[in-house]
Amino acid sequence: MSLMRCPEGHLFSPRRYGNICPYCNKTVVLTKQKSIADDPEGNYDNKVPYLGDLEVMDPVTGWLVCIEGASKGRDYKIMTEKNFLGRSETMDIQILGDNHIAKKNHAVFVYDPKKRKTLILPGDSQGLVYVNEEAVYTPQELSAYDVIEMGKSKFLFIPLCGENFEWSELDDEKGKE
Amino acid sequence: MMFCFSQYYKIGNAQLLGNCEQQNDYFATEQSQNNLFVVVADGLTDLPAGRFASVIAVETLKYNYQHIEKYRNSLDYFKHSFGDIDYSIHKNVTGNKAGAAVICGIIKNKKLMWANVGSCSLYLCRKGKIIPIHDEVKKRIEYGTLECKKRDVLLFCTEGIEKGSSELEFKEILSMKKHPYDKAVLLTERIKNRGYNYQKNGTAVIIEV
Repeated sequence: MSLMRCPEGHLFSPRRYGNICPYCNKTVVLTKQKSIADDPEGNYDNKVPYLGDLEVMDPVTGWLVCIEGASKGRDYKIMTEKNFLGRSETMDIQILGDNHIAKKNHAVFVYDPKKRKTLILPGDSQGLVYVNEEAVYTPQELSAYDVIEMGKSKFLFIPLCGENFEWSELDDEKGKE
Repeated sequence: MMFCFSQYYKIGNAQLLGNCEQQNDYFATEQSQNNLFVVVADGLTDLPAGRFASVIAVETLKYNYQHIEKYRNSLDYFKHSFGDIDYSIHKNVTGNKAGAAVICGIIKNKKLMWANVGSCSLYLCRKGKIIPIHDEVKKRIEYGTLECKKRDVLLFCTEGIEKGSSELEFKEILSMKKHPYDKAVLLTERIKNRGYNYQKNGTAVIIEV
């Protein structure tokens, strides 16, 4: 079982939200004994599994880390290909707490696995996106530690995949072995 | 006939933003051994005051539940708590009107004691049948009790869930052999995928006895 319960009794998936409750933004402290804070009363019947465990997750290619704004300190994963950013729960990167970020498609982050580059595209919403103080109107390549400003929030871009690392390389090496 | 009544309850929850700017619903659960506390609140306006009101409602009920020995019985607890909520909201929220619809339940030794103020709902799924426990006429405040049986499934939800779905769909989902968390997520996903223009915030808390 991999559901987590926050101090307020809200159940959520740590695979999707990390250890911050999406309902009340409280952090669940993980202990060594229980890496996942299962319900202490042992509610979860092993015969009825939580199907979220069976979801296949794409590997992460980079992160946005909020350094200013309502979600300061929080990280957001960037997956391969397109990642749509907004406040809506339908977005790949959901930013909560800043109403100046559009609900849908405020920006689009694209990781191109062939060129091993991460780009930012302006979304089709009203809000602007700034990279290092310059407004983005056309696709722009991102570099490590670029400062991205959206709404009243600022984020740092931290890449994982690129020149030095790519997930498909690991798969290729395994294939050769 | 002896009931082998499980000591434990399975809980699932999910929320839906709908077409609103922010989430004004709030909820909480708390359980210990044979007892379970559930509260779901729906802030009554799209303004930030709505969120404030629903959080006050939930936190007040939860705090009073943690000191429930002060009250003569559950009815006394509910009445005093609603009074406290009303007072807190009016004291702390000025200018814009604020309020919250609330549904609260305490399950103690197989018995559910519940109270509903406003537009929230409580459904029971028992042996494949869906039974609305709340009064469909939606009186201002209503109280009730219910003897729970093993494998009963309770759905505490706000208006966004009730209006976005149907009893037939509740029956289908609550009867599934899935974890209540998966049921709650499935219910909200289905409503979200309908894409209704008028879709409000929604919260579903599902309890399996």
